[in-house]
Amino acid sequence: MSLEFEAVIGLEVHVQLATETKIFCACPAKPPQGRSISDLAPNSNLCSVCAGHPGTLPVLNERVIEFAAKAGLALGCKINSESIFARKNYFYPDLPKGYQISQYELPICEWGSLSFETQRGSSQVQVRRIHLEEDAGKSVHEGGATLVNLNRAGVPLIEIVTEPDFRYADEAAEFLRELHGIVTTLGISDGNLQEGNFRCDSNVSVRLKGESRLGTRVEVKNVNSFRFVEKAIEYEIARQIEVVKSGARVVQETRTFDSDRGVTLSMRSKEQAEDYRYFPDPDLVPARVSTNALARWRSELPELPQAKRRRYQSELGLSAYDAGVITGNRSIMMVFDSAMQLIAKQESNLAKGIANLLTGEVSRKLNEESVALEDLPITPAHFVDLARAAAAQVISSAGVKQALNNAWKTGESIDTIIEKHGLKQVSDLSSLEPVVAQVLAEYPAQVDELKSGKDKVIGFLVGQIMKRTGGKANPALVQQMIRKWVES
Amino acid sequence: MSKLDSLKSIRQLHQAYESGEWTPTAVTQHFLDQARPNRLNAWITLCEQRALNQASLAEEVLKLNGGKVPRATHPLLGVPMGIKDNLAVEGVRMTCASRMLESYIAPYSATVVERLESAGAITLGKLNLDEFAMGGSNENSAFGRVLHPTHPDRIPGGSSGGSAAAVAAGECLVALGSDTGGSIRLPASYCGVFGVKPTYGRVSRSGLVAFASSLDQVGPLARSLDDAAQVLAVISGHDPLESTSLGLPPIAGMGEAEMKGLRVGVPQELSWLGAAPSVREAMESCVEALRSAGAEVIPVSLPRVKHSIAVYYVVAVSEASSNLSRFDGVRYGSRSPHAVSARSLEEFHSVNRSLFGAEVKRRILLGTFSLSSGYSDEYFLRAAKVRALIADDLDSALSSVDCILSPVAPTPAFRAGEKTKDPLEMYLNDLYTVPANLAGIPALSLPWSRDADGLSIGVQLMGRSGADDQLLSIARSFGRVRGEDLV
Amino acid sequence: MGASVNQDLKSTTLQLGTERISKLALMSRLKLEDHEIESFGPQIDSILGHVAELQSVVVEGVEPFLSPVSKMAEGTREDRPRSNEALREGARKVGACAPQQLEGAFVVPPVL
Repeated sequence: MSLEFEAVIGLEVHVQLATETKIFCACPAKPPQGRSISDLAPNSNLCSVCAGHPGTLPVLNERVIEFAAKAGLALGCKINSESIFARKNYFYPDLPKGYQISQYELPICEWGSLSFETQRGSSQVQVRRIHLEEDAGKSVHEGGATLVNLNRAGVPLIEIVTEPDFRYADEAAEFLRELHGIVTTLGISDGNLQEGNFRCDSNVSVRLKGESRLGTRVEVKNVNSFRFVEKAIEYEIARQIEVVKSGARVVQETRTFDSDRGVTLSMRSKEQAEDYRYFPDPDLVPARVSTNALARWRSELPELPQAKRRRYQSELGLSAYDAGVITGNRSIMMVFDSAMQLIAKQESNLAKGIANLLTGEVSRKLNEESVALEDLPITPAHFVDLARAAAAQVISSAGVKQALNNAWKTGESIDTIIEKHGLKQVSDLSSLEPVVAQVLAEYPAQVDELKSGKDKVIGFLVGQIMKRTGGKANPALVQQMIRKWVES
Repeated sequence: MSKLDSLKSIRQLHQAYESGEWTPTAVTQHFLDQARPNRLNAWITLCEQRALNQASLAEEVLKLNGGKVPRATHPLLGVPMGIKDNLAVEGVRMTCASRMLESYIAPYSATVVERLESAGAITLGKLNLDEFAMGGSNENSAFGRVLHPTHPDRIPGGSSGGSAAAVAAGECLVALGSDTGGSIRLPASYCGVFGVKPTYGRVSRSGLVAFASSLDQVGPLARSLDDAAQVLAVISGHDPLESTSLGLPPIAGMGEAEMKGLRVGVPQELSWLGAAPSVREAMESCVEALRSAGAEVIPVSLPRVKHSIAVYYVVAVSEASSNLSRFDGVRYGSRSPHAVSARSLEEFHSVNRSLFGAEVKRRILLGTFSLSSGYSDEYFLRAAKVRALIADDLDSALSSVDCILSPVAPTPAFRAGEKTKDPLEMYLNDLYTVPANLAGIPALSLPWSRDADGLSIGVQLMGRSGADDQLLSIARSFGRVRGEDLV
Repeated sequence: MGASVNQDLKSTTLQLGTERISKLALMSRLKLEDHEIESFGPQIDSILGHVAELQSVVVEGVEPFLSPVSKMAEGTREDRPRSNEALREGARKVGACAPQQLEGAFVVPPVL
């Protein structure tokens, strides 16, 4: 970015709430057996209320108030004891009533903030408001026709709006990661990015450094990956600077992000300057939060990601990276925390080992297999046992991987798996010495290479010893033994 | 069954069922025979087979109960009813008197309909109305105007014109209507029947096609106060399907207030000085009768009530413009034949929505204007504030009197076409009835007298919020004072 | 066309004009015939003329009255889904009302 210009960025994040039912009717918001709403047959998950039939009326799901308030508490917001629903009026085929029920003048939460780490150090951004609203359905254009599926219509959302405090694209992405960790830790949303349950709109403008007035704002809508948000904002900042430099004016508009080409594109929509004619919804009464309920919800707040990361690092010795990965994934975090419950105080050195497993092999497998950790037979106890076995050198690191894969599928205890598959590694010097001696005798050329400093060949020698011990030798120990021999 | 023409009340009907003089099937058949010719164009749909099935069920209930009507569980057993065609009855066409919903079959029943039918009532069919309940004369229906029951060149009032006319003409025993600015009370007055608008929140709106959500209420029309009260008692009560539903204490509706010492407020702002001579006469005679019976007739002041029409025609149209946005031909309702040649989604929507009638379109435009950016503060917000002042005025006055008395309309039923040239003229007809909707207080129309042409003139009573029972008991003593046997 | 401000400061009478009516019609998704635009204009002006009296009412410090029950009604429900059977039935009934469906989706026909 040029030295003359600075970017001013604000975010609006739509988070789908993980309640059982939709916000204003008793249709399921969570299909059974971990399926997602997009899997369901079109228009099979609706009723006359969420389909906007004549004479139907909305009734608020009490749980959404709790979830929104918890988000507000986690972000240090003022929680309004009464907040008002308003109608946002516009016409679109996937908006059944011709208006969206949202909140306008008096939302449920206001004026909080979030601190988070960036490559430039700590950053803090103000959260202007959090409000409740209903999701619209989905419309797909096919062969010129518009196909409308209302399964999603009425699913509850909170919209989290920040002040335009961001100045860098990567800062925005870090904020989103932190916010994502918070809503998933709170359990108010599954934060599933692919499903579109956590979507971000960015408002981007540029101005000359030192200028206090804001430039013309462009909205980049509905980006649902942190990386893409960063790229979209970067592109948009650069684009706007070019426009201004060329003497033209930035057009106030809504754009989308083409992730394949890495560019933002103008939406050919004519609804650019829509008049939503907001007014308080006469079919609803204010959402109420009592002081008792608020106190209870406050006491129910779990340890939030930032506090957790600090604790992981200071008390358990985890690296910042590992702490970040674990708190960024709710399933992994829950397994880690449960595992910590199972180890004794003097065993806290196991924490790092367990963390490594989770951030390494487990994360990889989860991505690859697209499964949920909760659905697998492997438990926190397995990870503890694995870490113990590795720390005691009972099994090698290859053995750990093999045992993990096994437990992943079968859920059998680690002890059983080690026995069954003969994973115990031999670390007993007296049984290993003869084998080492034999191999070194058989490969004098490689021994010479090693002596002359060609360190790579040690792998071959270790490999030979592993072969002759049926893979059971402790490879780290064998390596040590070879080196000692060679040195002497 | 010529004696059925003398049927005047539910009590009489139940006595006849118990004595075996009439059966639910015979009664239902009689009313269907009366309704079928549709002499007044009061009916849009008749559910003949469905009604006869319900009648058979009613007979079963009687049999199982040893020939007695189980009044505790089935207080409306075998009562033939008409339902205004903006209230959903599952499986039955609901048109709202609009081409937009010409073939729409309701996928669920309104809570009030479920309660009535559980209580044993028989739904004869759906009654004509002004399109989407917007109108005061039932001349705005896409299915043709409704005729006044005794004077066919006149209007029955609106928007529940079909309900009032059918009850008055004996085409059903009782009917449900809806009232947003007077739509039950006005036609009740013109047709000479009782019409009650309950306290807002007492009766469920779930299944009532919304016109103005903060004003709409469902209520009964009947030839006797007893019947209206019984129907009201059955349909009242908290409904979990409606957020604005209140859990008010149930209505018994059978008491009679003591006339001596009753404090009746008469507001100068709702005076009958500018009304037609026959209305003035009726009101004067009412006041005199009250005084003779020992009631105190007290002037009260409602200084801001004169703004009621202005407030109503901002607030109601604003809410309506939004409520009617759901009619776009995508998920239900008719599509215009021109829709296939639409060149954009805007055009698709606009062309379908041109199926609305003129009055509906006018109100949507007005409502959109009142809510639009740059005008919503001055129009919608300001009107809502004046509404608060009107509600305060009524609340204050009702703390010093037991009820407020006024005319229902400035004239008796007028001729068809008389007020259709200028919409504003029709709107001004609502001046007495609108205030109760703005404040959410209960109000009813009680037939008082007839003019020289035989046209009925009703008087309006308004009561304290939630005090519907008391209002009914006051109405009963008014009726006694009027000197006719009201049953 | 546009607003004409009455010299009397107490009332501002707005006259909407055909362009304004057309814009409102678009915003409301109403296709009006020319004769409708012509007749609605003066009618709406006349109604707004009556409504103008509200501008003379003193409303400072008055809270808007939005509903008779905003302070009283409970207005929430438990987060409990309806049964699968009820969901299926309900969805079926809603689907039966649709003018046009393609594999369950509601169809808005191709615009030209």
